[in-house]
Amino acid sequence: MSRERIGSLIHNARNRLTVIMDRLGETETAAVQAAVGQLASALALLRLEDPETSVRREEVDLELFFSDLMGEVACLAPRHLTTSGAGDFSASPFNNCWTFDSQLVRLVVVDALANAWRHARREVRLTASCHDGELHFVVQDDGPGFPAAWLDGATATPQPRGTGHGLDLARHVAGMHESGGRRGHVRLAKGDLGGAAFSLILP
Amino acid sequence: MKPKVLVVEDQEQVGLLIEHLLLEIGNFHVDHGSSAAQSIDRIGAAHQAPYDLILCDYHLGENTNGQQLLEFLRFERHIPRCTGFIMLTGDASYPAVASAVELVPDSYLLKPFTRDGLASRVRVAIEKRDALKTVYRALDQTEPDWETAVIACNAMIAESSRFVLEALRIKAECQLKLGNWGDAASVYDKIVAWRPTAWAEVGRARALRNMGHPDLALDKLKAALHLFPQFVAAYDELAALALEDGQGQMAQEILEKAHAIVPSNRRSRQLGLLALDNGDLEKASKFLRVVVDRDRYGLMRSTEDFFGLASALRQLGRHDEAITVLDSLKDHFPETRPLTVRKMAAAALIQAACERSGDARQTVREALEIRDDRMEPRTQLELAEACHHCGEEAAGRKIFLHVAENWQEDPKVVASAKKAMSRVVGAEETARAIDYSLEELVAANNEAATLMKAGKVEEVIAKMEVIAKRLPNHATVQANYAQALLVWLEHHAPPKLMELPYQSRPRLYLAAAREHLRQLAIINQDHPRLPPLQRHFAKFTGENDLAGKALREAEPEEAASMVVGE
Repeated sequence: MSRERIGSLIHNARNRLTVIMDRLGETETAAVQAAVGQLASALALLRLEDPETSVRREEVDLELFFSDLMGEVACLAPRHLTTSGAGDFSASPFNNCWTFDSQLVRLVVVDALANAWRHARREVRLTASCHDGELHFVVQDDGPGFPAAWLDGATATPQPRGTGHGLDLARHVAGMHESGGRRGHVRLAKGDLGGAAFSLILP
Repeated sequence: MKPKVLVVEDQEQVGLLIEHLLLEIGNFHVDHGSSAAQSIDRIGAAHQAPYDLILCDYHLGENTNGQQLLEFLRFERHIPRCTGFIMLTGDASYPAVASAVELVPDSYLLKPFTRDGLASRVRVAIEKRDALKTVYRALDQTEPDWETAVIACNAMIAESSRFVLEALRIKAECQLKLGNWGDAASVYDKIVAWRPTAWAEVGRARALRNMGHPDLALDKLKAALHLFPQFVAAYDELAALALEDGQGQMAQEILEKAHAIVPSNRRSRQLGLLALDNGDLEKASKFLRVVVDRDRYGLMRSTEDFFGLASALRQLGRHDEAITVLDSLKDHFPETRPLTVRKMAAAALIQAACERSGDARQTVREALEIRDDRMEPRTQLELAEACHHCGEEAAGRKIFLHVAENWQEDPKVVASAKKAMSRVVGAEETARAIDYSLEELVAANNEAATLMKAGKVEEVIAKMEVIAKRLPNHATVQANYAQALLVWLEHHAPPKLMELPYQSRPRLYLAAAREHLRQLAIINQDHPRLPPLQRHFAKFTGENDLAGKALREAEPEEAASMVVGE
């Protein structure tokens, strides 16, 4: 019951912001748009709290999904950092199309970006691509990177960089996606920018 | 020419804002519809130059939503396939709706959206329309050209178009329409091999069912529902399997699950009518009441909801409510003769249930006077059943047999006739009467065919004249009689046939051939024997478009009453 109540409050807040947005100039609109995006994430999180929740596999046009994601990035990204994005979906078996839960995947990627923005010095990069029958979303930054104990192959139990909820969430969402005996997963590594590289890999 | 866009939005200011964004994006001609009804009018008025794109708000008021409008427009073919459809919604739960339904928009956009978000969707929708142009052209014809569409899809698949998945989906649908179950299944297999995809899983089950493997289809559907528990088309397909297996109660339980996920009017109606069929009167009245109240001004309103509800209420003993429902029909539907007959039959049953047998008998007698032999089977069967309950058993029996014989070529109608008749006289007597009657009909037709082969055309004409008059809705009988007449004319008509008096035998035969070809065209304008017979006829009179003329001349009510089943 409380989950429904919270959901309803988030919905109302979103709708009120929508009305406000129509009355604002471009700069303020972007700020409100960012808040709306965060409320959408809150709704997605709420969904995950429901024990009955199952992954909603929808056909997603990758180009549209990525372009929406970059639209959200433009609203949320801190101005002192450079945030770039590149999507290459040419290797998708059915051009540009994949099936996954767009709401949850968007939540995870935006959360990974927020984490990167907290640790980056100057640059954050988001890439999305298909290879070996998997869809990869990679968020890299030029910050200090993940502790060695977290990286793939390390034996120590990872200690979270922030609260740890984001990583747990990412692993949970990735694991909910399964296809042809393969399950989604998260990979933490050292990236090309010298800092952390977070990958969400979906089958 | 500017691409045409229709913005369907009940809030004028929001509609104008969307128009403003569209004009920033490109050079569009923008129209507005503030409600589903107004939008349908706009779409109808633009049928010569259809919209390239419809941008539709999900919440439309008037108990209608954008998904219902989309389904109505696509199912009823009010918009061609080449018209793109983008759903706009402020409801974050819309993705759940989109993942549950089979007919999805080309894309959707959550409000509030940016200009870039709208621009990318509009661009993709127009690219998709252009890429699928040849496919859509083949399918948007009055009679879809499935084979050409398959060829065009194959070309897109070969060149690995961006919209290859859509091409595969359409190709599989076309193969199903063509009855190429194996080909359809192999397309679906290809998609499922890539990854589980709800519509492909259900499509594969559909192909398996048609290939005569209901058990395999059932397994596939159960597996699909494990992966896509919200995908209602899988429930619909499961219910269809249960119905085919004669398990009406199970079908109802399955549909109730689907209804809990997407409680659309279409599904409420389907469930209400199935419950009525199953004798579950409380549920029938509950679901049909919802549809009647909610959809009386809606897009998919149907007389079936009213008749079904009245029937359920009558059987529950709520006679006054049943009469009120029947009376309200006149407020929502034009008074055609078939509708009047159905109303009178239903009213007579209520009168009989109220022990007003004199009134009931009088009502069916009046209905019998209005009835026409060519009215659609359902109307006639309802009247026949009413006759049995209201003291006109002989007339009722005659109608049951008339329907079974006339629609002998349609197993569904024959089954309906048997079912309706067995409710009033029992299964044994029904089987005896209808089966005997149909066997007699087949024997008479076979005898005529044998005589025809033996060249005894005049004997054939004598026999077929009686049968053709008795069975005005039997396509094969109509075709056989017309053929016999034309063969006789081929051999006996003088060169200047049209100069003979009207009452001469050749002219009478020619008139009869015209009349029965006209009837064949009304029964089924696509009947395969119609074109050769029409060509044969044209040799005598030069009339090339007999079928089209027949359909144009037919009374609208007459043509409508010829529709078989639903």
